[in-house]
Amino acid sequence: MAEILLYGAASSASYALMAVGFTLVFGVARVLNLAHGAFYACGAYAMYGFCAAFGAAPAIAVLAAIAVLAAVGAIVNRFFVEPLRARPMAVLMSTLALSIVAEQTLLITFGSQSRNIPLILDGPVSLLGVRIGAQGLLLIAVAIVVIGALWLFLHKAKLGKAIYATSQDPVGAQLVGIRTSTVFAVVFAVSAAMAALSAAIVGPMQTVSPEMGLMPMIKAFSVVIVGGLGSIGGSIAAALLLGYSETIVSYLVSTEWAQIVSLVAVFVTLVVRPSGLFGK
Amino acid sequence: MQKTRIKLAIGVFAALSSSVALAQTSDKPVKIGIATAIQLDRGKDTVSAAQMAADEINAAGGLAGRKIELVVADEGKTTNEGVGAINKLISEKVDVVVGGYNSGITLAQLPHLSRAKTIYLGVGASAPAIQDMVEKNYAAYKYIFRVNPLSSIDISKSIGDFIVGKVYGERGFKKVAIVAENAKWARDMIEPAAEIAKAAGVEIVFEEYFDPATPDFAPLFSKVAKSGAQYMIPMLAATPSDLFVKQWYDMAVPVEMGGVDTGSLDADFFQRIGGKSLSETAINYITRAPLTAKTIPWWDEFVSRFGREPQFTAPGAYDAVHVYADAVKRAGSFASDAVVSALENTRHTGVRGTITFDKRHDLVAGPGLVNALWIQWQEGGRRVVIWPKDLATGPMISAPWLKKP
Amino acid sequence: MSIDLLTVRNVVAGYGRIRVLDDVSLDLRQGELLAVLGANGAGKTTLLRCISRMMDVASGDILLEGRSLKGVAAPELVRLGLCHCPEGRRLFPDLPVRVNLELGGFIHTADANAAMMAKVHALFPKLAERAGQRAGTLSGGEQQMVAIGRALMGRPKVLILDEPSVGIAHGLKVQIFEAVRKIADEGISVLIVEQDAEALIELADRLYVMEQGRIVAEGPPRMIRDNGSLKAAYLGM
Repeated sequence: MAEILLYGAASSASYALMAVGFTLVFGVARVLNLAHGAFYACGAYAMYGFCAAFGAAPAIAVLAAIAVLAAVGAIVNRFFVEPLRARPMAVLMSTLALSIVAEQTLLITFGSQSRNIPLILDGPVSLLGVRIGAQGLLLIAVAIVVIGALWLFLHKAKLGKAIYATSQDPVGAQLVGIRTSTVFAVVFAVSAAMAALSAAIVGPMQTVSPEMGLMPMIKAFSVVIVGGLGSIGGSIAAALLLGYSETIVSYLVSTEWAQIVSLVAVFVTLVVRPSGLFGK
Repeated sequence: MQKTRIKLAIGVFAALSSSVALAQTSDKPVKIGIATAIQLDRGKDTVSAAQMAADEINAAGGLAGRKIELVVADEGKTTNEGVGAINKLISEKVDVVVGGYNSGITLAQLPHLSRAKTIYLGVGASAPAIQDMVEKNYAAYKYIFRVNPLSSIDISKSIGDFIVGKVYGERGFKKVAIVAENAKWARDMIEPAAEIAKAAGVEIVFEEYFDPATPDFAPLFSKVAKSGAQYMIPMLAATPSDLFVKQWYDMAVPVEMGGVDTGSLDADFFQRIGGKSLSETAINYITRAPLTAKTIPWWDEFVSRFGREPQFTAPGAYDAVHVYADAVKRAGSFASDAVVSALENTRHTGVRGTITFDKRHDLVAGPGLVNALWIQWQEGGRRVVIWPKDLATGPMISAPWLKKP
Repeated sequence: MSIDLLTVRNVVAGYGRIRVLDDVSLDLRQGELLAVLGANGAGKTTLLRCISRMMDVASGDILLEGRSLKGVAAPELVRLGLCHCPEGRRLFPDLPVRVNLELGGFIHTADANAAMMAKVHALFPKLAERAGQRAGTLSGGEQQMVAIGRALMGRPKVLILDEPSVGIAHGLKVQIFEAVRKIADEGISVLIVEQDAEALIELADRLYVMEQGRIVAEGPPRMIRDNGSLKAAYLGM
């Protein structure tokens, strides 16, 4: 059905944007960044700030939010991850603590009431006989373009190849002159920027509230487990799998069960093939 | 001569002692405890409205010559915080507690109120279970009254009445869809309403319960549209209303909607979602309409004093303080048992309607008393009462994308 | 007079409270093939890790072309003309051989890399054959060739090799050592660390012997043959 095709694509797109950033950080820096959901929430609030305080047009606010979060990502890496690199447990705790502090700060600054950020594309659109919000189509297009660009970057651009090499072997990378500390900063920045982009496009179709980062973070984590930690291709495949499964279940069974799908998928993966679809 | 003088003496003595009883503590203020979630606008408005009522009474000389003071305690979001709030108020020796919002928290607070024999006037929680306690154990729980909102049983009847009278009767929509969050309150509330509708010939062509955490309602709306439903009844409390309504609007779902939407009760709902609740109807308890002669003057004064429109807990809190003061005057005493008896005989016209209590100390619904209002968001964010007929302030409008040219 | 390209001066280093290098000094001269011989645990790998800035020294200093390497970050060494081919090789396993080699020339231009790649292929023809194959799927000996080739792509003045013959079949071992000799003959100063004494004696211009974190002997290769106890220790086996 055309509806499942389009709605599933929109769901998959938002999951893919979140999951790819998360898996990139793990694959390259070997960090399970539990502050990824905080990047998402802060991205939405940054956009809200630019719109509400400066009256920025939605498209500009999105770009500004992405830029801000890219900087935040690099800062988080520099001060909360790099110094603890030798102890993975400490990094985990550090990013978890950051996410809690971020949520509390958002709550204190903005209150618990839901906020609204504007759509870049307003209004319904009819495609293939299906009624869908225009922003949903924008989301699909953006996800394809951004993830495609990322893939090209990692395989063709010099810095991209340096990132890829670091993900293969950080010591080997240093031996050929790749400054891995720069690589880690870039990867964190890209990951945070992708989370912010996802929030800025999905947020207007949902709500903005301090705890909004939790569900996307859990979904991203589920996608990454099913797809294989560290595999970008795996994240894309798993995002499609979970996005479409949820949509199909919503359609054919009930919206009551759709949210359970990702939990079931994680369970099955851990039992049957713990390394995930494309993991090692 | 002797007998008359004695009667006179006794009469004067009785009158004096009751006023002495009242005046005995005339320097001590009357403490009204407010237990509510002060983080939320509904909580803030509970306090503000109670303050308004207290100020009015104080300006007129106080209650039995004593000034009313409010003591506020934060119920928070958990039963622990709620019970803590009640205990704090009890330790401050408040004369009465006004408040409430979450039924679960209120139920947890009841035993503590009962033990302290403190009168409780609920203004926010709607579970029938609260007032059931009065019936089960009158001696222990007679102190508990519900002033606001209507119990969920009355809401249920109102939903059924709305579907039959307005949706089917006036708009001619025979096919109706029900979309409810999968929570017990929603099932309990919609089932009796559905029975009332079906008995009148309405067809429930689609019924689905959904996970409140659903991020994307497109599949659900699509199914509703395909089912041939002409009207959709949502039941939302934990679901983020902003999300649900925005997606309904952005997708231009060809099915109008109205039902229980707790988010829609917020005065700034329309404006904060960019006007996307246009034509959504939701059950509400108050709006700027002449429900009684007091309603509009009260509303305007609230807005001018606090700079915002009142949330649904506000009129309840305002009326509750007056109901209490009125009961104390009729009882001639502040003693709990006496005030309880006086409260049972309340017939007070407040800002929502005329308040009376049944034998469960629950607010009574009905024409001339207090009614649930069906309020639709219309152009410019105006909230128009479209049902019940005798309280309607305007006609119902269609969804803007369904308007025939 | 030959210049000291690399000088290790009184280095003390270790891990935590364990001292592995106990006042080690050596120098690598321009154009020579220098071997450091020692048994397992003598501290050879630790020495190389200090030189390539994978770890800090506790005291002492290491100088490259007279310039102290204190505080220099590991990735900068290629830019200073030092390439390290490490223990465990540290290749990029999922990338093809060709890309592994190209990455070796990360800091150089495409043209310079093309020229260097030709030289690497001349040295190790097998790598040209296997250019498109994923590096992780090669045999141990072939992977070692890739590692040395990758280090050469950095155009070093100083090439450091950490036990290149470990775990490799004899035939390939010989090929590798012959290639190393050729590299030194081309003018690159090579510091090679090994357990296999027999091969080094043929290969090296000069030899150090390390035992328990200290240099115990230094001299031409025949020193091993001529010294009874060294001969017993390292040629006995």
